[in-house]
Amino acid sequence: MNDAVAVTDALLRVRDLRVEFGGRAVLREVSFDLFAGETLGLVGESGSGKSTLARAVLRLLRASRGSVAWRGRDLLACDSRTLRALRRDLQIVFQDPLASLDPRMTIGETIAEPLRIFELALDEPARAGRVAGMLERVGLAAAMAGRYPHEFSGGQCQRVGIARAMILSPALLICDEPVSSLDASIQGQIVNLLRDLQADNNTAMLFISHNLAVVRHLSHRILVMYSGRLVEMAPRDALFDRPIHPYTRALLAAVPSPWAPQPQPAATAVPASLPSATGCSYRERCRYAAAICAATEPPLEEVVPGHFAACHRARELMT
Amino acid sequence: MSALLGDAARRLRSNPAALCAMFFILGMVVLTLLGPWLNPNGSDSLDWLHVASRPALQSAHWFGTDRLGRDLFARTLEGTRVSLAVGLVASAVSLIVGIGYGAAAGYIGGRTDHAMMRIIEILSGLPLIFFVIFLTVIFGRNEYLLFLSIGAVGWLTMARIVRGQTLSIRHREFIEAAVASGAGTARIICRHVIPNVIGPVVVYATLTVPQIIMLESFLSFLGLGIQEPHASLGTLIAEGAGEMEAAPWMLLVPGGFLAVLLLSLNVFGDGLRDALDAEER
Repeated sequence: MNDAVAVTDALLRVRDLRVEFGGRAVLREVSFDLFAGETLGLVGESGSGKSTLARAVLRLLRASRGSVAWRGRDLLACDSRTLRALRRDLQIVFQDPLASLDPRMTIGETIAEPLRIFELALDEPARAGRVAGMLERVGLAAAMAGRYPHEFSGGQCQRVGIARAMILSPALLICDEPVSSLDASIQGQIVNLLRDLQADNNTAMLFISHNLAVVRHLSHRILVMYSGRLVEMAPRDALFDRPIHPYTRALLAAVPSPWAPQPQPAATAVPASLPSATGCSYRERCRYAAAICAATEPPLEEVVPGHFAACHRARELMT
Repeated sequence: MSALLGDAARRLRSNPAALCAMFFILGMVVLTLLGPWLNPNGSDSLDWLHVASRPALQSAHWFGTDRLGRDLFARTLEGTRVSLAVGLVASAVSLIVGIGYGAAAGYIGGRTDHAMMRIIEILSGLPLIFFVIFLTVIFGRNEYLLFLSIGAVGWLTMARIVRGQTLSIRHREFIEAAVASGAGTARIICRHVIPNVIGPVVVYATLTVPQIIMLESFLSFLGLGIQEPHASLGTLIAEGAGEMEAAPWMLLVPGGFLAVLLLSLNVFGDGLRDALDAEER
């Protein structure tokens, strides 16, 4: 990515982030910026590295290269004491609502835990008051604080997870597919809750999903990931109206629409083999693949101001 | 945690078998403590007029006497007290040390885990008997040494079990969520790991009490543990087994006490596990 476009007051600045599992790179040279109050959508198919990116940014797993600058301080390089202090501002909501809650803790204790860690001056009644207020804010009754996670539905557990993440009013909230394990009717409620909380606290948000409708509803800008790389990055409307990368186009075409009664045939089948080491990793599925695509991997370039794509034929495809 | 314990107590109260076992255990503890006041006979006083006499409620010796004329009721109560004390103290020592050590090794992982487990392997390679003999030679013989040496061996297995349980939960998402919330290692181990591994561990602990009671009687038999005129259930049973044909009550009385004690401990342990398992109701 071209550094010249990066505005200096980015809250989170990720550069060349690379994660390897057993020598195989699952995240390759990912770079992006996130600004205060902004919602960044991250879409991509299963296994494209979305959750890995979320965990690597928060150093819940080890990146092998790259940097994650939070307000100018590199999270990947700082010592664990500093990192723990910084976690106050960096919170995450997980995909599986029940698994992310300690089964031995009442939900009240779970929500109170960040307060116990970071607001040591708070006494017991004040803490209980904050927890009760937060429970009501996420749409649960304050009297539920004494219950255990298994007594709740998935949607309610996710509200608890959101309450835990938001109780310290963090500056950054990462949502790792927070609604994909929930019923469609509950998804809307949770998404609206997240949007309201974000608006109240001016929280920056990295929202990961494979549900394009949800991402479109929430995001200011959208990142598209394929096979561990960012292939397109654009403001929301530009991405939905004028997608550049063939993968983004296939992704948008796959969304069922009332105005397109004929289901779109999949552009190409998913290749049986792993992506080859050289060249563009999407070329085996790409209907526009040319000779150059097999030779070198296309860099993420600014095709139109503010609109980045990693495709050799981006400019041809624009026309 | 306090809410967790309150819930567990409520569930335990609604389990009749576990409640029954708990009252048996408590009853035995009370009986062993009150024994000297209930019974005019001392545990080491000899009654030459009633040597190896049968149990009879109308005589002074309710459970009969052994072949030196000592009252079997008094001796059994003393034996139960000693066995229970050894079992409980040594189990508590192994529980506390084992949980702390095992949870730390399992959660921290990597090289620390490797080093900590090698230490356990080296320690468990030392033969218990030599260990006890060395201690006896250096410090002389006393009961505290017995507690110490049995506890020192018991925690090794406990630590292995806790480590295994910890490994099975350390990659669960709620641990990751706690890390992301900013919790430190000590906090995660104490508030998330230990409460989640405690169920199987408590059951194992109630099973170690009988094991330790057996081990104690074995050491006493070798002359390294409880010695005459004091008694433990193990020594009484060993003694009674020798007189089995002539005076079966010498085996049956302490044997019955041991059987009831072990059964109660096992049933209580089971009930405790069910009560602590909030998910499997």
